Parts: sequence; structure tokens; C-alpha cells
Amino acid sequence: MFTGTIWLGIGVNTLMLASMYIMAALGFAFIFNMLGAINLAHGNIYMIGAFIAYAICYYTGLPNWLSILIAALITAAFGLLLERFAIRPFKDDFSRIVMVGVALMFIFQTSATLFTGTKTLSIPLLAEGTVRIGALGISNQKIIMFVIAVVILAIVLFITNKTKLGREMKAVSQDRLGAALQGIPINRVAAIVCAIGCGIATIAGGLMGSYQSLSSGMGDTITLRILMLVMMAGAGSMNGIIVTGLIMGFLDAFFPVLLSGSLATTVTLFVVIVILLIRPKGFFGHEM
Amino acid sequence: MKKNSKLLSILPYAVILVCFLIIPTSIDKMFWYAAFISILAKMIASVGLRMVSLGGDMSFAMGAFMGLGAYGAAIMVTKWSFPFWAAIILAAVFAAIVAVLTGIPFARLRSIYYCMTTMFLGIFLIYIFQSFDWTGANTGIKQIPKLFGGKPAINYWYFLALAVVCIFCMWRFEKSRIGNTLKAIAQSHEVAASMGVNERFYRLMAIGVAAFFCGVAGASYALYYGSVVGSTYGMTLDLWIIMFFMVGGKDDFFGPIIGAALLGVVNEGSRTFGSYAPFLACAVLLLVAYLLPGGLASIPRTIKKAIDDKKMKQVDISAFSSGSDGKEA
Repeated sequence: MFTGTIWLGIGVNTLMLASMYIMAALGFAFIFNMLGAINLAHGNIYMIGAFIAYAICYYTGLPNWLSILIAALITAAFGLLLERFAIRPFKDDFSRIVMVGVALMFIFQTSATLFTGTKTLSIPLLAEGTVRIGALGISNQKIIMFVIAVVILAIVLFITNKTKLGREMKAVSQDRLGAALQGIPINRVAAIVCAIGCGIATIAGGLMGSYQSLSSGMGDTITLRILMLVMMAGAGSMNGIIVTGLIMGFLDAFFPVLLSGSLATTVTLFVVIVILLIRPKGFFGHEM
Repeated sequence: MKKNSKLLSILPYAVILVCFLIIPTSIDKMFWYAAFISILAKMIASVGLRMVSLGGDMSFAMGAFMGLGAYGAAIMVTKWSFPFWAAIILAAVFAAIVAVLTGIPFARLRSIYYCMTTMFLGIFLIYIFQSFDWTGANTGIKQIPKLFGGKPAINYWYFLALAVVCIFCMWRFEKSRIGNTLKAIAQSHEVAASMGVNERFYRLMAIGVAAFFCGVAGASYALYYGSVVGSTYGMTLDLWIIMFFMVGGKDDFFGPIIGAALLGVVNEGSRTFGSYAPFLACAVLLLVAYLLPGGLASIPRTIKKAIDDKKMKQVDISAFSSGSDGKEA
């Protein structure tokens, strides 16, 4: 029933969505793996980052790629504050970290709603035009998004696997107390990681905001995706989110072709729930 | 002395009840009746969440169980023309059955995985109703015949009575043997299982009872409001119910009640600021998170501990001074 063209389209969308989801989820996953703390505000940093990028682009007239980059630096600086004031004091207390996360989430959403008003906002496209492969047209925007994502993920994978910071992150996520006894400054590592995560999430938000339009609801959507992706990967798995990111991307690219709007989301949620029931600790995770 | 302490333990409930009797009847009736009805419905749900949390779980699907009750009652009243009381009870039973059936596979999950997967479950359950035209798709079910003809005053008294009855039932549940067993499971499920406690059965019972009362609240609210829209029972409602529960404090039965009352009044009262409204409730959340680790209900305990510590310190100082006397001699 599916022709080659449709499968190719699904494949392209899978790669594009998966790369965005993984970029948005990195900061959340790092903090969750290292400290066992869930930062519910992270998905909304993706959203607020896109709004900051729009504001810079609109009010100063800078080119769109530069404004996304500046927005990423701003949210990275904000990430340092976030780690210091919203995660570090509460990292062992589930209820308080959820409270702070939800409060920040509502604050970001309300700010975004106030900023948007009734307008439809959108960052200008990074690239015009399409590339044709057979009967399928792939917009240059999608290709650029994917390339940027691959470059950033390669850098992040290099950092986590080859550098001192990456080894420190791994040590902390394996055993926090042991890492502290070996002289690893846990708080500093967590702050750097949170800043990097927020910056990358903002780049993802900016790219997505130039592909689609901006809305305050995009924070909620991505929060749900991030949670599903990280829970499927499981706690303690740094590279697993790339696999589950591809799964999430495929589910979100495949079902909308078959089914209408909310039914597609329903089926996606169902598949994720079933996966989590079969693998209660995620694909690569361990007991919390 | 014993009678005195019993009176003291009832006092906060009495104060809250008096507040709920006086405030909406004395100022701007129409606005506060509507606001307090919504607060009472969410209060029942957040006390229900406490029943689940007795067994050591945190369910993020409470709003969805309210939604199940709401959709159930709406369908029964509009499509099958059931009487109101039957629709409310059957919808609540429906919510409880769904909660128990989904709870059977979910008992495998623990801690944070349980929380997050129940959140997906809640969103999934509401999305089912939003996906089919028979249940109104995205626009929901409109023009439901209203409870008591939609008169705010009678509805308010009905909701207050309902909340008192439901919360009393859940209080009895917590104080019963089942509640104590659940507390034992929360402390260590391995130890409880080794004592011959059927852990899964008790956790299912807790989630069933909680979902039943959530269903009652949701069904009553849908019939009062006259329409059900799926998106109002989504992630935001789940999170608000959890916020009510956590702001109040999760160590006391009184916690979710004071949390729902305070945060609900702040949230509804700040409606007059228009779209700036959520900032005030968020400020309360941040203040409680930073200043009161145990939630609002822990204030008397914190004060008592501070006084005791002060007494202890005085004792310490006297002991120290006598010690130094000894050295001099």
C-alpha cells in the first residue's frame, strides 16, 4: 500500500524529527542521569529559546542563524542559574523539584502567551527551495536542520565519550558519592552540563520555530516527547537516547500518514506505554 | 489531655470548612461560587492522590480519572438519558474499573518510571476520547442537562457536601487497616511482602478508591458545568492536582486540603489580572518549595520542632557551663 516515495518521505521526517527531539532532550537526559532529578521546565526552555531567537531576529534585524546562536548563549547562561537555584537545592527531593519545575513551566508558558498575543510568529526560514529525489521534494530547511543536528550531536558524543568532562559525567551518573570522593566537582559538572543542554535545546527550538510557527503550546508538546524518549532510554544511559529518539521520530513521522490528528498521538502514546510496560526500566536503564 | 489533642487535630478542618461556608456566600457570589466549585472538585482529586501516595506511588493520572468520570457521566446523561445520581455513581465506578485494569500491568513499574508512565497513561486516556467523533472529538460534549438546573448556590452546597463526604470516606480509608498496610508497603515493599502482605492487591485497591472519588468529582463537575472538553483534563490538570498535593505537604492528611484551598483561591482569585494570572500561583509554588520543605501542613510541626530545639539548646548551654565550672575547679 505504501509506495517507495511515501516511505522515503517518512524516512526523511523521521530523521528530522528525531534529530530535533534528541537535541531538545539532551539537557534533560544529562541532568536526569547524573542527579536523578527531573527538570520539567526543560521542554519550555526549548520554547522560550525559540521566542528569544525570534525577538532578537525581529527587533535587531540580525540574520536568523546568528539570532538563534545568541539565544542559545543566553539560555545557556540561564541554564547555569537554573542549575544553581532550581536543581542543586532540591536534587534529592522529588516533590520540591517537581514543584519548582512546574512553576517555571507555567511562568515560561504565560510569558510566551503574553508575548505572542493573537499573532502568528515565525522565525524566517534558514534556507529556501527544495531538493527533488524522484517524486519526493525535500525542503532545504529540513536538510539544513538535519545537518546542524548531526554536527551538534557529533560534538556532544565526542565530549561525552572522549573528554575529561564526559568521563566525569559518566562517573557521576554511575555513583555520585564515589565520584565526589574521587574529587570530581559534581555541582560544577552539573552546571556546565545544564548550560550545554539548555543551549542545545534552544538551537533545536529555533530551528523548529523557523520550520513551523512559534506557539506557547510547543513547550508542552516537546516536554511530553522528551519525557517519553528519556523514560524509554532509561536512567543512566547517555547514548540510549539516540536510539529512542529515532524510535520517537519514527512514531511521530509514521502514524500521522496513516491516521488523523489526535488518533495518531493516541497510538504513539499507546506504543510508548506498551514499550515501557515490557521494559519497566527502559531499554538501557537501571533501577532508580 | 487526650480530648484536647483530638480537638486540636480537628481544628484545622473546622477552620477550612468555616472558610468555605463564609467566603463564597459573603462576597461576589456568582464568581466565587464557580471558583469554589472548581476548587472543591480538584480538592477531592488531590486527596485521592494522597490515597495512592500512601502506598509509595505518585500517580500523575488523577486529572485523567476526573476526565473519565466527566466523559462517562456526560455520555450516560446525553446519549442514554440516565438519571443524574445513577450517571455520577456509574461514571465513578467506570473510572475506578479503568484505573484498576490499567493498574494491573502498571504495578510492575516503580518510582520515577511509575510517575512518568502514569502521566503518559493519563494523556492517552483523554486522547482516546478526543480521537473519536462519537465522544465529540476535539470540541467535546456540549449541552449536557445541568445538575439542579445549573443554579450556582444549590450546586455549591451540593459540592461542599460531596467534598465533606468524600474526604471523610478517604480519611476513614487511611485510618483503617488497609491504610496502615499501605503505609507499611510504602516504607519497604520487600519487608511487607515477606510478612505475607499481597502488595499488588493493596496498591490496586488504593488506586481504585482514589479513581472512584476522582470520578465522582469529575462527573459532578461535568454535570454542573454543562460541557466536557478533553483538553481541560489533560496534562495541565494532572500537574495542578499534584501541585495542590505537594504544596499542602505529603506527610499529613490535611496537606492536600489546605494546599487545594490556598493555591486554588490564589489561582482563581488572580483571574482578575487576566493573562498575568498564573504568575501569582507560581510565586506561591516557588515560595513553598524554597521555604517550607514539608509543605503548608508542616508549619505547626516546624514551629513545634523549633521550640523544642530552643529548649534543648538551653539545656545544652547549662550543661556546658557546669562543665566549664568543673574545669576551672
